[in-house]
Amino acid sequence: MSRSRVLDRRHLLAAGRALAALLLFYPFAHASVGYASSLTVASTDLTVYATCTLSGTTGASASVQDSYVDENAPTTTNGSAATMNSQSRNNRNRRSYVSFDLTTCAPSVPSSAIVTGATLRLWVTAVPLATCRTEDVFAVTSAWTQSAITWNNQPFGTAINSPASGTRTDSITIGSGAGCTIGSAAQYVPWNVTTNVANFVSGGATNFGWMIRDDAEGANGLGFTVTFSASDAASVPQAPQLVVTYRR
Amino acid sequence: MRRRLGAGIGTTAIGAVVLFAIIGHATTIGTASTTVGAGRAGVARCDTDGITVTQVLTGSNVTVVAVAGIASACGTGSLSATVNNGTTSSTGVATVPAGGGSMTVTLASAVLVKDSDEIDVAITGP
Repeated sequence: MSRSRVLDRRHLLAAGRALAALLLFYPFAHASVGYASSLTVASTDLTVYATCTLSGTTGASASVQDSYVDENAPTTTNGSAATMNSQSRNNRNRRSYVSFDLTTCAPSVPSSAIVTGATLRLWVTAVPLATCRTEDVFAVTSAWTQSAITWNNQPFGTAINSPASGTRTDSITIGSGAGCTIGSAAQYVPWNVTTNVANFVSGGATNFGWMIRDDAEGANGLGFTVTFSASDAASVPQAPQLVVTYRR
Repeated sequence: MRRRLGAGIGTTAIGAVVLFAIIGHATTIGTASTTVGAGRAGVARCDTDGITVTQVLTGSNVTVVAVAGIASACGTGSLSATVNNGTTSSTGVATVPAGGGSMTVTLASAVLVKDSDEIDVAITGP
């Protein structure tokens, strides 16, 4: 018998044994696969949102700055007033400013958060009679403080109807006239400021708060006035609020 | 004898190689399971466009949470709302109306309103 034939036989024998081992162990291998396949995760639909509510519960609220500016008293500060106004009246226009420190949210809103909703809420204590006034909210683009802001130094300047209505973030109609969204006092006015807050959180814009003004300032006669409760009213149920809903 | 022993070891080695090849192949199936186990699989949400959450006060305390804008896909799910003011917290649970929409959840105990409050809302199911 030649050496090559012996090798062939050995190879054949080895192959046969390998096949036998395979058949012997295959059920175990298969069993292992079966065990792994049993790792089925029985998941349930889960929808989770977090909400940070910032409230000006007292005049010394750490999270809220608010005031109003008055064209008729252009160097007067009103940061400690209990109310603030939006007023359209020739040479006596008024605007309200409010800002919320988002860093006081606890836990903090991460910069990667997906902001699904943000609402600026001001408690209205008086509405214009027999009319509907459109009240615009604008994101402020430079710094101010409630202790120093006046008509003359306000971020948007002293020209009336500025900035243009087209740049507003949101608007809402207020008054006791037919068809107003907010038809009476003693309720919250909700402006949608989601796009602004999403930018503040992501770092796309700096948070300087908002300004509220009548959409058509400079009305003749006695004009039209909306009055809001300020943080200095120290009334928790009427506190200015920013409500931010997000997903982490 | 030594030859047989050597052949036996060789056979076992070959068998093991073939076996591991098969196990390796089988593990390819198992890898899919491992991915799920690693928590990388997406968990379905019934609402993706956001909800509106508002505190309802009794005096200076949050006693009820109002939730609006719930997607219809969440209908009959279980909604849990937890209010945390940094000092105390309380949770309420209620069933989402069929068709979604709006609902209120009464907290187990009142939570004092502070400058900053967090409300966590979780909808499980349906």
